Amino acid sequence: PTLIDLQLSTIKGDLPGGVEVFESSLIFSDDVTVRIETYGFNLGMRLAELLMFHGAQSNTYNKFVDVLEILKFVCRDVWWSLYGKEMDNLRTNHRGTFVLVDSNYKLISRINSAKGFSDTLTKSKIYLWFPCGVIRGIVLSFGIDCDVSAEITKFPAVTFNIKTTINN
Amino acid sequence: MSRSGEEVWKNSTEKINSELFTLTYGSVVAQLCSDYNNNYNLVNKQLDSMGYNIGIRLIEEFLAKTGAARCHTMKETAEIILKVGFKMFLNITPQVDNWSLDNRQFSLILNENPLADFVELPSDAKDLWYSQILCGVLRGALHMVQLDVSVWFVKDVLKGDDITELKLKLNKILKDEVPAGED
Repeated sequence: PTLIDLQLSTIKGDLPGGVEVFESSLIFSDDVTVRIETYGFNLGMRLAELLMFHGAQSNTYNKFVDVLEILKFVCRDVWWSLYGKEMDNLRTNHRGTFVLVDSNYKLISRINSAKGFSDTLTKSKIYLWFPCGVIRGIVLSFGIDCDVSAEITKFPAVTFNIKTTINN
Repeated sequence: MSRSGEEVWKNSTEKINSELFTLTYGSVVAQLCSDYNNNYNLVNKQLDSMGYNIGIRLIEEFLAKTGAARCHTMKETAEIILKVGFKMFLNITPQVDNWSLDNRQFSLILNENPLADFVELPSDAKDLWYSQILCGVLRGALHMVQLDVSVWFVKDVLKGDDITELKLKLNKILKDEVPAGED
């Protein structure tokens, strides 16, 4: 079994309870990011189903006539169930591209690197693949394919860009 | 003065959506199964290791929030784990049973298991202990309070057993050691 002095990887000083693994450049590799995105995606697919099920019982959701309704569902219900707050802003060009803004994103709001602010930003970025996957999973569960990317606009504010193939 | 699990759970813990928790854990287990090509023994081992990593950090939050004092017997330790630890982190209170004669080993019986909500195991996953991470968490947390323990699953309702049961065995009590470089 793992013990306190077991070296977890080839990274120097990577012992249980440590954060040295974040120093690895491998953490920005596709292998890692795709995996984190997949965790979010799997969560999104299943969470959509659960929320719809709970909503159907209380008769909240019965009309998802267009993709904007789905994104509103992400902003309100999904974000509420994940983070206890709603998205702060939703914008769209009405041609299938959406911009969602969370002005205090919970997953990164407490990250603070001892090496200074730019290091905090670098290390926070890797966390954003998770909510990107969640959003993609939710939207795909309604049958719509999309690309999601995220950027940190003004820490800890995060902007999500969602490009769908739907044009309306 | 130590506080009761009920009180800590009500007043001092930040709550998250249990579905978020359950589904995220499910994603992790599913990903591990695919990483290890369904070699479930390796998956169990990895979950245990992840749990250990969580446990050694979790004990700090536990001690800070409960103010629990040192336990003098394993019976006391068991009581605290079940009624305070499980209550404050998972909002469940498992039962304790099957004490060994020397009072160094006991069973924890989980009447409900938030990790395993919505879960159905495929029929070929006989070797997978789905909630193995709990074993690692307990082992890690207790290691940080000088208890070297072994924890393992013996029964799981996901596998068709009537109850979910973990065994916890005290191997030895570690000596308080001064960290290297400090006198």
